[in-house]
Amino acid sequence: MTIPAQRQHWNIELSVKKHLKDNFVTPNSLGTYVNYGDTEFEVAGLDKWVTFTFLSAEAGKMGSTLLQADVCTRTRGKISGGDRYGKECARLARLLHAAMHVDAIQLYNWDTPASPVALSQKVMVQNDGGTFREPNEEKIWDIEEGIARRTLTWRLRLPTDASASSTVYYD
Amino acid sequence: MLAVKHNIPAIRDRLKRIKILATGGYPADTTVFMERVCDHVARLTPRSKDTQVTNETTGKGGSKQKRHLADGWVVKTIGGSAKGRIATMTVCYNMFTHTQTGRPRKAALLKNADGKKKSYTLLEVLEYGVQPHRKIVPVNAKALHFVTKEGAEVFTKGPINYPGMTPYGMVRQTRTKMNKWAKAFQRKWANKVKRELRRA
Repeated sequence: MTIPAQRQHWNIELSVKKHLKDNFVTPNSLGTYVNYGDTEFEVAGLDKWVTFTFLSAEAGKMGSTLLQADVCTRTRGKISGGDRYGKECARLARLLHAAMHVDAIQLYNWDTPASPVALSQKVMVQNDGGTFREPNEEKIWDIEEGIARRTLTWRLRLPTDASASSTVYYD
Repeated sequence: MLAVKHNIPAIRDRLKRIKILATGGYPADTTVFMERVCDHVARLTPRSKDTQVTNETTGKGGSKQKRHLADGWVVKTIGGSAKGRIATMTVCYNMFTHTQTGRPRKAALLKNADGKKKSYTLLEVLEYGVQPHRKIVPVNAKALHFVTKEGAEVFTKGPINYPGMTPYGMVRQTRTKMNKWAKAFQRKWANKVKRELRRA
């Protein structure tokens, strides 16, 4: 017995990455490098970068998936040369927040990676307090070693995951 | 004669039973709930491979070397006392890195190479991870010295790219689960109180 496509975590993960790629402002226009967790990368030559990490994979299993996004900018110590006060970091975080400011993200079946098929279900973006579209938390780090950093966390789950603990999946 | 019949004694009895539930069963159940939360976050906190196991009787490590972050998660009830005050809050926190109010302990704050204290502890590092943001160079010695995962010993002047660290998110994952468990807990106790109210 196979798990239905909308409950398979790799479909959920890839669908969320697709949504981010389509809605988050492209790296080239802002000089920002965006890493979706697929490859390793060097930060030595970068001034701004964003990384995404999935902390858990329980969406579709009566649980939630947590998505962490880290927005980092180099301060460099000069106003003209870098993001001295972390304002650019805040601006990137706002853009990312706008990209994830949706009630739900369309799910796709990625069995054929080149041509994903849209599914009838969506995965909800709802924080622990029950508010849609908002992240679970946004942590602002102190500027250290010339890096300004902000960490945002979103909770993703299917509508069926939001039902009572006694509910079971029959599909 | 005009008279009115009331059921105040019956209401008083039901309220007495609800009071017994509130002062006896509910605080105890809350502590059990938080201990479940505490166990969950302790299981998710990563351990290094060569960590010493803590003393099973006391639940704490004997010496500083034997203490591990994952063993520091404790549950504390605030407000209860022998004089019968009702507990107002139950917290789960890591006693090695934070106080029961949630503030980081000064001794647990990490330090820079120059000795200046950072604003976070090892727990935040494990929770949120570290970005690959710098190169490692020798500061106090002529060369860096370390042993690789494969067991090879390395001496090098560097610089070495710091690879960063993956976040574990154990507190956030537990908080998400805790919210779901708390709803079931609230439903269970609401049903108990409703049953008492309806009982003859």
